[in-house]
Amino acid sequence: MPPTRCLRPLLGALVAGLLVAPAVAEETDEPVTRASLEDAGRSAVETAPAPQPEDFVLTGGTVLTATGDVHAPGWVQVKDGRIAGVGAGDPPAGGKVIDVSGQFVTPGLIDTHSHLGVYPSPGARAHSDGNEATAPTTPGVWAEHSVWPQDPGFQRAVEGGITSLQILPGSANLIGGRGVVLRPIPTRGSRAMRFPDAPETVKMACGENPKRVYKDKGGPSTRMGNLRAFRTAFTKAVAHRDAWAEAEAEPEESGRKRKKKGASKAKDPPQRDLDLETLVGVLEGEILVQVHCYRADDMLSVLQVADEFGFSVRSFHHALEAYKIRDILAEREVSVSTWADWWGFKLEAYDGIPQNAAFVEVAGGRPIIHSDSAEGIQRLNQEAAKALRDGLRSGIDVDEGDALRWITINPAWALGIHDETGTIEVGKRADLVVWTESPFSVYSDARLVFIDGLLRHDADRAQPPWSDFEVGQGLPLGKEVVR
Amino acid sequence: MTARPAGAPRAPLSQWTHRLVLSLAAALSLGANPTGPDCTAVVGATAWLPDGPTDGVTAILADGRIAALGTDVALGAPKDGTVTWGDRRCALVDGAKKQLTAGLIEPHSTLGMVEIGLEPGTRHHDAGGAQPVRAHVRVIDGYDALSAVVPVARREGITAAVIQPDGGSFSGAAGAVRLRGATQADAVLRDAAGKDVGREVAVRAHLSQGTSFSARLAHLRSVLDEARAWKRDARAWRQGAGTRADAPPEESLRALDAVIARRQPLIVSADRASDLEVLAVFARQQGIRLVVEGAAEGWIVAAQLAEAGVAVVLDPFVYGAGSFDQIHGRADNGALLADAGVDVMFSTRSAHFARKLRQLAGNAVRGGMDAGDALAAVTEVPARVYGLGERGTLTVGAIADVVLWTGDPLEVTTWPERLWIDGDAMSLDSRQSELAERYRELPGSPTEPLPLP
Repeated sequence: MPPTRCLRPLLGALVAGLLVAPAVAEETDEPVTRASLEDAGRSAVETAPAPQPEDFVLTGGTVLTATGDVHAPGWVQVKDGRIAGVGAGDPPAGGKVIDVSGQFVTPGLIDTHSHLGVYPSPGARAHSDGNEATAPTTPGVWAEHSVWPQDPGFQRAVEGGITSLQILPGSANLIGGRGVVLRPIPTRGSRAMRFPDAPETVKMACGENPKRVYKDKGGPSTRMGNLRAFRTAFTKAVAHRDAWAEAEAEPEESGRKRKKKGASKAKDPPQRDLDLETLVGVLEGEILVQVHCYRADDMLSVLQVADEFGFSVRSFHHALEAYKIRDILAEREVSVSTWADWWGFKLEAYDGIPQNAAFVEVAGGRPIIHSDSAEGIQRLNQEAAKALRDGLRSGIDVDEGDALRWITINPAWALGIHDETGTIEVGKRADLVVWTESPFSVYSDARLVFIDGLLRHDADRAQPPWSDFEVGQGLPLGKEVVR
Repeated sequence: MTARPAGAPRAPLSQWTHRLVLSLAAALSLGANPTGPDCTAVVGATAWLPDGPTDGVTAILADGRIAALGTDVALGAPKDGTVTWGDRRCALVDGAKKQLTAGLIEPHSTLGMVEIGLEPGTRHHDAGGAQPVRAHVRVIDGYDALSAVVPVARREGITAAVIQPDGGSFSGAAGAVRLRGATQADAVLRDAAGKDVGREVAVRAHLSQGTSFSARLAHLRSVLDEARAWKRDARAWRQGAGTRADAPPEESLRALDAVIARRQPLIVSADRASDLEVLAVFARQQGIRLVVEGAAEGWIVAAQLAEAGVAVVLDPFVYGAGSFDQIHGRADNGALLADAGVDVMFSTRSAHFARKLRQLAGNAVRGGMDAGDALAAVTEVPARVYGLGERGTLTVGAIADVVLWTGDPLEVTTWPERLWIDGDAMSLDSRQSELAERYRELPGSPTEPLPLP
C-alpha cells in the first residue's frame, strides 16, 4: 500500500533506512524520524522464506471465472503463483497437469466480515479480543494486533474455500479500530498473514450496539448521541490533518525551530495521535470505511456524516435494509455486505429479508455475502446459493454468475484487492478452489484450495492441524497405548 | 398485472391497498364456491417414502389425512385442474420433476416464543425467578400463534415445531405446535383422532445448578428422587423435605411424574463425550427417556447412547474447536450416531433461523449421513420421540402435513412450491415476502399523499 498522505512526514525514516526509531524524538539537530507500522512491511518480523509455488494447469473441469465466463470443460494455467491463462478446450503445455474433470473451478472465496483470530476458537473468556469496549471511539486500535494466528478457524475457513478475509474489530464501538485483510495461511504472527499491499480499513458501527454498550458508561445512549460522537471524532481529525498540512508546508524548518520561542506555532507538527491518524487516513481516502449498520435510515445518517467530512463508505456491513435504499447505494457505489437469511435477533434486524442481495444486484449495486461467523465462513458458497435461491423464488432476475460474484470479486472490491484477486483472469494471484460439484450445491466440498498458487487444502490428503491448539488433543482416542 | 376487479375504485391506489382489495375479493369468491374440490391429488412426484425416494408417486390428501399413496393410485381423467379419485373430485397438483416429503418438524425451537431476540419484552420462553425447578411451567401457554416468525419458517417447509422453555434447572414443559392457525387452540398439536398431543411433550432440564458437571447432575438426580418421594407420599413430603426454604414447588414434582413414568422424555444439553457417557448411565439408572441436545462428541460414545435409548438433537454445523466441550466434534457425527442405532434429530435451536433446518440436514449428508436418515432427523424421528401423533412420514393414514419441493428437499437451491397442513394448502407468504413485495418497486413504503375525497 502506498503510504497515506497523513503519514508522509514519516517517509523520511524509510529513506534513511531507519526502520526502527525511538517513539519519542530526542533533542537533536537531525530531522525527527519515525517508522510507522503501516510502512514496516508485511514480513518485517517474518523470517521464514516465502515458499515457491510450482507451475500447474487445472484441466477438464467447469471453470467459473466470476467475470461472466464459463469454460466447460476449461483449464486454468498457473505460473509463479499467478494466473497465466484460462480458457476452454485443450490446455497449453507447461507445468504439472492436474485433472479436475467433472469438478468445478472458481476463484477463491473472500469474506469481508470475519472475527477469526480476534474472537478465536475455542470460545473462552481469554479469547475475547475483538472489542476494545473502553471508549466509544477507538480508531487507533488495530484488529491485526488481536489476531491469534493459531485460531483453528483459519484452517476451517480454507477447507470451505476461503482464500482472503477481512478481520474486523467488533461493533461495540462507533469507531472500533482498523480492520485487516488477511490470507488464511499458517504463520507465526498475524503480520505475515497480511494480504500484500491491501489497503488499510476501519470498522465503524451505527445503531443499537454502541448505544447499548455505552448507555451506562458515559454515552452515547441514543442514535443522536451516536451521530454527535461520529461528527466530533471527524471534526478533531480535520483539525489534526490541517495541522499536519501546515507543518508539512515548511518541512525544513519545522524540526530545527520547534524549540525556539517565538517560532510560528502553526508550523509545529502536532503530537502524533494514533486515533486521529486513522481518521485522517479515512479523510484522505486511503483507509477504506466498513460500517456495521442495519437500518436504511441509519445508513443514510452515516452517509450524511461522510458527506459532511468528505469521505466515502466502501461497504455497509449486515445492511439488512439495504433493499430499501438500493438505488442510493448503487448510485454512490457503496457495496452491501450482508447475510443470506439472518434477521430478527434485534429490533434493527427485524426488517431483514432474504431477497436483500438479489434486490441490490438488480439495482446495479454491489452485493456481498459475508459470514460474521466462524461457522458461516466454512460454507460461504451455500450462503450465496441461498441468497440466489431466495431471489429466484421471488422472481428477481439473478443468476449463478451474480451469486459467484457475491463471494469473490465483489468482496475483493470492498477490500480494495480487486486488481489482485477475486476473478480468474490472467495476471491475478492464483487464488483458486476446485469443488467436487457445483459450488451452489449443499453437497459440494472444496477439494483443492490454492492461495498464491500454493496448495493449502487437499480434501483427499490429511495434513497436520495448522493450529497448535489442535495438536495432541484426545490422545486416548488413538495414540494412548504404546506398542 | 392483474385486471382491476369489478367495483374496485378507479382512484389511484397504493400497491398495498390494491393487493388488499384483490385478496379480499379472492377470499370472497372462495367462500362463494362451496362445491370446489375437497381433496388434493399430487401426481407424479418423487416421494420420500419410508423405503426411500420413489418416482411417479401419486398422493391423495383428503379429510386431513394421506388417503392414498403409491405408484398405482387410480385416477380419472383430469378436467379443469381437477381429477376424480373414486367418487371424489380432487384439486390436481402436478408433481412431475418435483419431490414430496412429510412436512419438516423443528424439534428444538423457540418459534412463537421470541419475536425479537434482544428485546426482553418479546421473549416468553424463560420463566426466570430464583426457583430453578419449574417443571410445571408450560411453555406453550406463552406461544403466539400470530408471531411474524412462524410463517417465515413455514415458507421453508416446516409444518410443526417442538417449542422449548429455557432457564433454571428444570425449565418447564416443552410443547408442540403446527405452524398454522391464529389461536393456540388451533396451533397446539392434535393427533389424527383430535386428541391434544402438543401441550406437554417433554420436560426441559439444564445442567446449570452447581459449578461442575458432577454437581449439576447430582442436582437433577436429587430433584427426580424428590419427585418420587412426593409421589409415594405427598403428605410426608410436605411435612419433611417440603418444608425447606428452597424446596421445589409441589406442582413441579407432580409435572416430573411424566418423566419418571416415561410418558415424556427429559431433555438436557451436553456436548462432551464424557458427559454424554455419564448421562447414558444416568438415563438407565433413573429409568427415564433422555434426549440430549448438542451431543457434538456423541460419535465417541454412540454405542452407550444407543444402548440407553438416548436420543440426540444435533447441530451439524458444529465444527470441532468452537468450544472446549466440542473439540472432538466432526462432520460425520450424525452418520456415526444413526448407524449405531441412536435416534438422531437436527435443530437450529432457534426461532428466526428455524428456516435453515434442511440446510443442517443437507450438511449432515455432505458429512456422510444417509439422505433418508437425514430427512428422518427432521420429520419421523422428532414425531416419534415426542409423540406428535401420526406425523413425520409419508404413509397412508398419516396426517397430511406434506411439502412439494421444486427439487431435492435437502438442497439449498430448492424451495417448497406447495405445502399442506392437515391436508389444507397453506400460504407460503410471510412478513418478509410481504416486505419484499412492498419494496419490489422503490420507494416501497407509501410516500404519496392520499387523493382528495
